[in-house]
Amino acid sequence: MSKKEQYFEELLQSLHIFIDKSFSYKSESVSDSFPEDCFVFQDIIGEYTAITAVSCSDEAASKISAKYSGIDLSECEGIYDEILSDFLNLHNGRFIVNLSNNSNTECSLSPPVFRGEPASSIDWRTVYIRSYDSDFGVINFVIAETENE
Amino acid sequence: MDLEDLKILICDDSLLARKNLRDGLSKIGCRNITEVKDGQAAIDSYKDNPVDVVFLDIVMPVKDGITAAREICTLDSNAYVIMVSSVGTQIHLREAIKAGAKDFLQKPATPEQIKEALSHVIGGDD
Repeated sequence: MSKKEQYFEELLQSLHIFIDKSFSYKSESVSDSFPEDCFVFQDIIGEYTAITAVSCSDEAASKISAKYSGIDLSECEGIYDEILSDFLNLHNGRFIVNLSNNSNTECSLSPPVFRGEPASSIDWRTVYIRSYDSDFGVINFVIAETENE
Repeated sequence: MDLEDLKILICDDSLLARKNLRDGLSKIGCRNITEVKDGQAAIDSYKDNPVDVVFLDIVMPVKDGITAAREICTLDSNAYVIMVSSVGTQIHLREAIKAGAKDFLQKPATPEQIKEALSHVIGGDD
């Protein structure tokens, strides 16, 4: 299994464990650029390198972040990007721990950055976008690997 | 010393992570809790107001948690630092211990895990 596939397989597990079991695979697309509505980015750096990101509508982001955090929906407005960056960081951390334990691949993470283009020095090539449906709306997770992955 | 007497510093760039850790600490009886958002702020806070326990995330802007742990432990050889992070790889564990951390909790840390980690502080067992 490629590391990209491993990432997405473990992502569905993370969604089920930490947010809700209603999340399910919806679709996947390939692109040469990041979706314009990506609101948080985080680099995986080390023996495997990739840029990860999250995108979804404001409505879905508010609902999903409320479900994830347990904070009232009205209080999530304006901070859903911070809340969902916590989930991205949590999942990415679990992923690199599994890479270390299962395939002796050592990595770390960069601090999440918000909005705009990914502030990354990673020379990425292809962008993989996987959409997940849920009772709270659709959320997209993005991973862009370097050419050699 | 009781849990409610402990002076605690939480350092994490994630608002939600700080809230979850604060909630977990409150649930087990801790009351005296300060929060900061990056490693440098943790060092500055510790200098001004030393605490009994510092909970440090690793991946943070400005200054990462392992660097902050090293500087706090250099400042105070008795500092009790507990890392709380999602990046619980063997290398990060080793670096954290080398930096002077006494314990490492993989996120998300439960109140039970937090209480277990603090039991060593209260018992003076470090």
